Amino acid sequence: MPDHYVADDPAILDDELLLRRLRPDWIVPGDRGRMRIASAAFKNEELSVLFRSLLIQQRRPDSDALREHPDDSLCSFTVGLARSLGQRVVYDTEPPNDPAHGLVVGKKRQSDANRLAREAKWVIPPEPPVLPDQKQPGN
Amino acid sequence: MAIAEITQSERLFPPSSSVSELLSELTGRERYSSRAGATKPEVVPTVVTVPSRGKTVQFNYLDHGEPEPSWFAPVLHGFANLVTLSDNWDGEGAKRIDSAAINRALAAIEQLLPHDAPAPSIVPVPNSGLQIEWHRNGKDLEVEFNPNGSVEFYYYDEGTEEESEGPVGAGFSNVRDLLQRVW
Repeated sequence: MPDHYVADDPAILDDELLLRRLRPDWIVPGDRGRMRIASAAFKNEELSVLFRSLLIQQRRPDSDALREHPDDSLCSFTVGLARSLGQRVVYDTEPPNDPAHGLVVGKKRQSDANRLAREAKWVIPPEPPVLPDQKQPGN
Repeated sequence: MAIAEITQSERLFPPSSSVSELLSELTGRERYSSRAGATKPEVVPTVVTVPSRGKTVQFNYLDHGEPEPSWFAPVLHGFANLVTLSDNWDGEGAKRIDSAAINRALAAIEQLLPHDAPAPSIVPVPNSGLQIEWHRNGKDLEVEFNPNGSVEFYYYDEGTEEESEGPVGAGFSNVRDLLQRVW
């Protein structure tokens, strides 16, 4: 992870999709019985993401982003949205990082984090909670 | 009801017990003590135990014998989930949630929420702080408790696109009106 000022990488296009992994704690009840993404998922000054184009180049499915975190879910947002909120977007693929890894760098106000949360799209949504009477024998 | 402190026990919770069983027991518990045949409220130091992530979390509070707020059990469950997060809980190096921030949030909830208020979601933040939040009636309200002691809010109305954020102000003066709108 960079420990110095990071400039935005102009070679990364605005319509590039960034994948963000979401812990179960960041999925909260929203309006009309829907679940929504908590803004807390987007508050890191160096927000860890994967570049979808790199995953495709590397012939890896989106689910690879959750390989070590099977309980998590996955959403996406565009580089353009991040930049419109004053963020810088860079590749961060040096080992030991994931070869598709990137960072969305910059201080994020609550309004910035909420905008990302509102506009993010589900890629791999969370599993609905299993109620006790839905559990299968042996589970 | 004054929630005084949280203590965490490391012992494993018996596998036969479940969160829902414990919380329903808590909700239906007799909260008055009787003396000489008459029932009279008195302050009773009380410990509530909530299991989370294979551990138990004890909440110590002073029970004044009032009816239990509707948000009481879900809020304790939410805080138990926070307390049991360990270092690197986000897989990206986040430190565990700051205990002082947790206690400030608990005190704020007690101060701000009437008995019949809807329970907020309790959400960990990677800076080792936390936020309490409601998303209801097309409105979003978040109150973030940072480990440096600052407390900030965010409000958004989907219908009017009204948006505001900033410090909560003395006595949460900047938030009280917004709470009414979200509930």
